[in-house]
Amino acid sequence: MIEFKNVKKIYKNGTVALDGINLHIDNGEFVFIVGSSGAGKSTLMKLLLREEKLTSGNLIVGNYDLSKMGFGRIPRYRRKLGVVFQDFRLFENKTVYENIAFAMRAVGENNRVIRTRVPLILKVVNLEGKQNNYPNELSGGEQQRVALGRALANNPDYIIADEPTGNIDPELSRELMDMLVRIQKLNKTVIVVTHEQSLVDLFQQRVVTIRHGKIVSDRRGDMFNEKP
Amino acid sequence: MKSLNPLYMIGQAIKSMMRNFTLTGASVLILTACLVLTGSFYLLLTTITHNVESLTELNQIIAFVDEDYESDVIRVMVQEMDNVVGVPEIISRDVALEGMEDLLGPHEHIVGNVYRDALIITYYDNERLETLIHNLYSLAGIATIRNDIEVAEMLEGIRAIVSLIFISFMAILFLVTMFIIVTTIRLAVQSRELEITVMRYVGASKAFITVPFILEGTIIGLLAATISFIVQLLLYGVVRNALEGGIINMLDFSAVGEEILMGFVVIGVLTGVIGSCISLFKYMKA
Ligand SMILES: Nc1ncnc2c1ncn2[C@@H]1O[C@H](COP(=O)(O)OP(=O)(O)OP(=O)(O)O)[C@@H](O)[C@H]1O
Ligand SMILES: [Mg+2]
Repeated sequence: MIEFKNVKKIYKNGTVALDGINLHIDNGEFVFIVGSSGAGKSTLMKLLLREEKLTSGNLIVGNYDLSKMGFGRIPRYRRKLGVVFQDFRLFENKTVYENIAFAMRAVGENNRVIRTRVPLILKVVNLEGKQNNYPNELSGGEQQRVALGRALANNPDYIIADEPTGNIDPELSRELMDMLVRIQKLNKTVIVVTHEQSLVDLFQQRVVTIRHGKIVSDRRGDMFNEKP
Repeated sequence: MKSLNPLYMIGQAIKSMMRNFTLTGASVLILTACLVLTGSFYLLLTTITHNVESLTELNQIIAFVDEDYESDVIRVMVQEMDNVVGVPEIISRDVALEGMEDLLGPHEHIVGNVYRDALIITYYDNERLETLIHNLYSLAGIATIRNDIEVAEMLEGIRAIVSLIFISFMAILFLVTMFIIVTTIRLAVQSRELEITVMRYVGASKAFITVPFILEGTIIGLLAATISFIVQLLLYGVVRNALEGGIINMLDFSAVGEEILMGFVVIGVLTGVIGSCISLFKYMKA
C-alpha cells in the first residue's frame, strides 16, 4: 500500500515540483503516471525511491513512513522496491546472468540462492538462453528486460519505472508493458511513468495525471470498459 | 541479517586496485617515501636522545693537567672539592698516546708526546656542575676541561631543531600523501559509479558499498608500511656501518624495529583509511 497525504516537494532552488499530492495505491495495483514535461512525475518517483525527501505531508509505503524515515533505514526500505531505469544502466562487462546476480550480491544474498533464483527470473522476463550474452549482444528490448529482471532480483513488492520505454520502439514498449502487467499479476504493485498515450490507451489501467505538481485526474482502469 | 562476506570485500578491493594500477602504485610509493622519511627522522631523534642520555648519565668530566704540574698533587686538590665523588682517575699522557695511536695509527710525523695527563672526575650533582667547572678552572694546574655536558647541550639544541623541521616537514608530506590517496580512491569510486548507483537502488547497505574502498585504502597503507619497514631496515644498516666506531653511538635496529613497524602500520593504515573516507564522504552520508 502506498499513501501520499498532502505531499509537497519544494527543491532547494525554490521550484515547487509537487504541490499537495493525495494518492492511494493498493497492493497489486498497476498505475500509469502521466503528465507534460516538468509536471512533477519524476519527482514523485524520486520521493518513492527516497532519493529526495519530501518537504511536507506524509508518505507511507507498506510499513515505512518515508516522512519520518532516517538515512539508516533507506537500504532496507529500498529492497522492497524494484527500479527500472530509462537508460537501462546495465553493466556492459557483465553477462545477463551476472547483471541480475549483481543485485542479489549487493544485498548479501548467498550463491546458492542466486543460482536458483536467477534462472527463474530469466524465465519471467523471457530471456532464457541469453544468460551468457553481454548487453551489447542484445536488442534494445532484450536489454530493457534484463533491466527489469535485475529490478525483480530481490523479489520486491513494488516495481517503479520512470519512462521505461523511452529508449525503445513502440512495439517493444508494448512487449515490456505486457511483461509488467504479467509481473503485476504476481501480486506486485507496478507504477509506470510514461508519456506514450498509445500505451496508456492500450493497457486500460489506472491513470493518474499530474499537472504543475497537482493531480488533475485519476481514472481507474475499469472506467475504460465503461466507455462506449 | 545477511552478513558482509569478507572475501568478497577483499576481492572487490583488489580488483579495484588492479584496475587503477598506476595510481595505486603511485599512492603506495609516495606513502612509502613519507614513511621512510618519518622513520629516518625518528631514528635520528632516537639516536640523538640516546647519545644525550649516555653522555649525561656518566656524570664524568675530564680535566687535563698542565705539563708544569704534578698530576698527583692536582688530584688531591680536586678530590677535596665540593661535588666530587671518590678519587679522580689519572690517565697518563703515555697511555693517552698509546690509545690515540691505537685509534688513529702511529703519530710518526709528530715529535714527542703532545698529550697531557688527564683526570677523570666523577661528580654527583648535575645542578652544581657549573660551580665545579668554575672551581677547576681557577685551579692553576688545570689546563683545560672536556665537558660532555656541553656536547649534550649542543645535541639537545640540535634535537629541538630537528624535531621542529621534522614536524613541519611531515605535516606537509602527509597532506600531499593524503591528497594522492584521496585522488586514487576517488578515481576508483568514479570507475565504479554505475555499480554504486545500482547497489544503492537495490538497497545495498552503506557498509557493503563503502567497505571495499576503505579496504583499498587499508591495503595501500599496509603495503606502504611493509615496504617502508624493509627499506628502513636496510637504510639503517648502511648508515650504521658507515658510522661504525665513530663517536656516535647507534642503537641496534632491533631495539627500535618494533616501534618503527607499529608506527608505520598505524600511520600507513590511518592515512589510507582517512583518505578513503574523504573520497567516500558523499556515500557515507546517505
Ligand atoms: N533536483 C532538482 N532541483 C531543482 N529543481 C528540480 C530538480 N529536479 C526537478 N526539478 C524541477 O521540478 C519540476 C518537476 O520536475 P520533474 O523532473 O519531476 O518533471 P517530470 O514530470 O518528470 O518531467 P519530464 O516528463 O520532462 O521528465 C521541474 O520544474 C523541474 O525543473
Ligand atoms: Mg521525468
